[in-house]
Amino acid sequence: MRVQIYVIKVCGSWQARMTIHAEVDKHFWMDGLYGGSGRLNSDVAEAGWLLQEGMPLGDACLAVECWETAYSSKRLKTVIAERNKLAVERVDKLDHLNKFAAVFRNNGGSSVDDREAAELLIACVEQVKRQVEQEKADAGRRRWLQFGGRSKRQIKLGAERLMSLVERWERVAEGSEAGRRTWMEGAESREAMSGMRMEGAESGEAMSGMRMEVAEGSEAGRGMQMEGVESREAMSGTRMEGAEGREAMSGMRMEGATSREAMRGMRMEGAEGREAMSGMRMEGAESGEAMRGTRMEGATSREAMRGMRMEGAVRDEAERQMRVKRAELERIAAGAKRAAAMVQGRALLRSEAHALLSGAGSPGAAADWSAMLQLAALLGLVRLSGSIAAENGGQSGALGRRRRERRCLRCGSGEASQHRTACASCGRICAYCTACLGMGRSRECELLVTGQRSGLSGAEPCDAMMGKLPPIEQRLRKWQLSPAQTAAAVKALTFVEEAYTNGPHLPRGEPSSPREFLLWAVTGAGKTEMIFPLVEAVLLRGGKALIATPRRDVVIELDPRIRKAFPSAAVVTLYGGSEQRWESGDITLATTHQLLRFYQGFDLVVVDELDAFPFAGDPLLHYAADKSCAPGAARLLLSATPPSELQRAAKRGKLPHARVPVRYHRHPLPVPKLLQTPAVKQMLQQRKLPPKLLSALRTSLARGAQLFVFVQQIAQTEAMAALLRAALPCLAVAATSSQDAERADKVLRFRARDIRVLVTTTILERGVTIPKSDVYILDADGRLFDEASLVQMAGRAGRSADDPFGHVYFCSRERNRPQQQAVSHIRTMNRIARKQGYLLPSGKGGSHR
Amino acid sequence: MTVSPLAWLRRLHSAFAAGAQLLAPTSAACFLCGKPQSAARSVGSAVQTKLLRQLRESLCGDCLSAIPWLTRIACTRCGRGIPCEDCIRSPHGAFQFNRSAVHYNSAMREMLALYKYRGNEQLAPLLAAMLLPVFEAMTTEIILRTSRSQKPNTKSETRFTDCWDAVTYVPVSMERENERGFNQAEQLASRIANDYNLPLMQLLIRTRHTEKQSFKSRAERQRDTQSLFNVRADQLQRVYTRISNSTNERNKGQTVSRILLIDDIYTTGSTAEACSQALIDSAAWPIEMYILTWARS
Repeated sequence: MRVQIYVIKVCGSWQARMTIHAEVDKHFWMDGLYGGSGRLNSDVAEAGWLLQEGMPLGDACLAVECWETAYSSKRLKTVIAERNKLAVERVDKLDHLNKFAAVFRNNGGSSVDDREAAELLIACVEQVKRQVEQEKADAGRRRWLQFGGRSKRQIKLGAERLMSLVERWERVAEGSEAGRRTWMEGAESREAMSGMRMEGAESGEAMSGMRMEVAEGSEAGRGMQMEGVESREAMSGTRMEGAEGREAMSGMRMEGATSREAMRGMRMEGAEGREAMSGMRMEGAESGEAMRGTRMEGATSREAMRGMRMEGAVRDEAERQMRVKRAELERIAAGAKRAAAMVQGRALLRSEAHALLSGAGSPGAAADWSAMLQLAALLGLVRLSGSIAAENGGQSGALGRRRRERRCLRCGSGEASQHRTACASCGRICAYCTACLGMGRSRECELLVTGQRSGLSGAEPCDAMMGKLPPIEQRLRKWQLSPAQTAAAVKALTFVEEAYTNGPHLPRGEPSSPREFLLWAVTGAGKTEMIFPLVEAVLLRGGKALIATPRRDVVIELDPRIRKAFPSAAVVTLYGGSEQRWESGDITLATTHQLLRFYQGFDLVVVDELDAFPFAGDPLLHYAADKSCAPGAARLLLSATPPSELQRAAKRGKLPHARVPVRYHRHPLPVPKLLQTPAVKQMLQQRKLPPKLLSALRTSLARGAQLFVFVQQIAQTEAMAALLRAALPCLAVAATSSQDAERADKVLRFRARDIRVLVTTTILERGVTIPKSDVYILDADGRLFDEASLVQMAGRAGRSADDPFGHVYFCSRERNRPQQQAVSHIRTMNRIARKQGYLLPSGKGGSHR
Repeated sequence: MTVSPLAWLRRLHSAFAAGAQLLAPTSAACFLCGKPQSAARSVGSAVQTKLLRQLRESLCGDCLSAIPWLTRIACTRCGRGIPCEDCIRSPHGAFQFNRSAVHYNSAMREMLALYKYRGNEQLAPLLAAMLLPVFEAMTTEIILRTSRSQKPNTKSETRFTDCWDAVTYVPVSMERENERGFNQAEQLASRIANDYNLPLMQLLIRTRHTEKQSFKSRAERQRDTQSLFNVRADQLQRVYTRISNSTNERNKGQTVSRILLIDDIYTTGSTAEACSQALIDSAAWPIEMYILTWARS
């Protein structure tokens, strides 16, 4: 999209800004009053220049940046000053200055300053354009054709030329058009006018009454007395009105020559009328004179009234416009605040922001949204920028030319993911990010709306709240955790609450990396239950919690559990194609991809299964997870098999962590048994299962267990299922994989024991809990199964308290390192559990190892 | 054997390009499914050697073999793979015939959506590459049709420039172009025009912004496309000037000029029909319209 840029003089210094709706900016800076919403801008600008020409968003951001550096260093400024000198010398000096004066009609030195600012703005834009041209040329293969430094093109701008490029913004002065130009003044004068009109009507009636009396001549005496009383009342009313009117008028005096004169006239009339009335009252019984006086006064005030009425008619139109504008302003101001509240904590592309705002039933067309968003941006509630921006600086290329590296502000991907194409919406070559394309196209000229955090945060002092909250142990009781879970939860909860106790001392707004805590819990330890108290702690303080996991299946499975645990909280579940896409709640459950759409939105971020695909090894998702944390927020990393660098950091004490070495039912993890079997490929070719494996499978089936059979390749699943179906005394054998549309259904049937044997790939290695199950991992020496994966798959067995001793078999031709590591991992966990006394004593059906 | 310097230079250039290609990083992942290619590539490569290298390099074997090429055409007018009731019902349309590269099935729908709606413009060269063989076949077909008497020269290098007078595309509305950032038909057309050295012209403009065609029924589409396109007279005039100035053999004998209209998808043919009609109506000399689309539904 194309935007405009402008410079503005606030408190004596200039600043450049970019706008998607210039009208809003003009009013904000030059007036700052928004009807009923009051004054939104306390630093009204003195003057401004708006560049008439719209430019691509990316360029505009660059130009603003360029302006800032140039203005601060004054380098360009002096260049311009020199150029001006040259220009002045060359052109007739007087003529030049005259033009100046004619154009700006401004006082003395400030116009020079003004002009410099405007020229600097244009110079910056020119520079950006040149830079873009150069990049375009660089993109082509003509690089070697462009040796040598480019001579700086000088822009010579006459005053008219300048004025044709830029539009001048001036503060609303006491000019003739002031009333029409400023809305607030309009509002004031409108009140005054309506007051006056009422007054006019009243005194008009009084006058007409008097006139009638004059005509009725004969009954002048007594009748007049009565009338006198009446009109006295009317007049005292008028006097009051007059007093009010005077105030109104003093306010309105600012309003310019015509209205001022009218007002003055009216004030005079008011004075006359008042005098007349006082005279009338004084005269009282002397009705004849009073009558004469009244008649005279009546005549004059009738004229005044007529004049006022005419005046009123003239102003009526303007007034109506003012009212419309005022209403519009109020609407925009209210809309901006609402929009800011909705966008808060999010980072959205323009289309997404529009979808969000329109989803909430905000009225109006697209133009309105940009006005509201722009106002919100001016208020600092929202940040508007291109969604791909040039990084600051950049290294010099081989030819001494600076090359600006682009970075996607939404997903953090660098230059390597940027793909440049001709863009019809901005009219030049612009880059889009290929890394986060699946979440909507992030373009250089596409607007990124980032909600800024205001007030509400983890750093809020909560001392009063802290007093009210019961101690940690008491709060944990209601979740009924096992001893091992409780120990870890206490540790984690203390960590989370640190922010609240030390909150005010934390540096605010600093983009510090989030505080991380690793919760290393074995498979089936009840991780989800452990995060409940943490989520509760954040919710109790009015914060927002996010639970993110790489896999969509897990999100969907988690949803009912969270809703059950927090029946009163608003839970929003986000994944590709989620219905709740634009809702916001206390607890957000999302796939890690959805985090791209958030910005500092959460006080607690829980990343579940952080070592799982696609989160592991995707810098984009890590960036998104970092970005979604509010400053000072706690981030909880959950895993049964943390990546080795995290394990190391935890061991060295660099990463606060808690380890849960035992399952919630307090039985040890099943230790895998190693079976030597041929490769799956060979089994399939020979259409024969090895007897050792077959007997193990039969034993498992005989004990009534559900069987997981893991293979390496999707292609092998169906074939293996067919082979098993033929070999086993059980027909309920099914296969599933990531490419199976009926996967969810098959898992359900497996859980319901309609399917007894499920052949699958690593897709089901986590997040699935089947009560009584045994696990067979074929080709356990395969490339795709590493230690983490083996531990996870082994973790499918024995998860329920009813059947805590499931069987796990690693079937492979050779025992390799990952298998041994997995076995020793499981044994270590069991040993730690025993040492810490978390295991049930063997007498109660506990450990038999 | 004498080689003209220009041809020699061209060869040098292509040799250099090929050499540079060796150094270029091969894209590791398939453009469509995102899977690492190396594993899957071997599956299809033996069979698909005829296909363009560009396709083979950017797609994995599975995705490549999933492309439903329209090799056998049942309806010679609309290029459908099955006999076409529409064309039997109304055999005389404004355009001569349509040819499409692929049958529009769900996989292709997904591919087009990735490109058109998701905005993955990296697919543009791919889709355009898929058009090239069809374009060549189409050109040959026209040459064979028109010069049945003498032996046509279907192998000549200049047959494309001889055969076609202009390449144009179905326009999109300003609003859509702003929103999407590109016109898919234009991107396809520019590739064809570029590769075969044909003049690319924007002969049409869309007069109004309509809902996405893909949300509409057949009747709605046909009603909607009436008077939807305006001809840019200046551009059309350029075509005429080009023809009258050219020393092309074919144009000496006949004054009918052939214009190729490119679009991404042919569904009911109403867009193609409307565009062709608009052009034929406003051209001051006889023109023949041919349609080339990426997919035929």
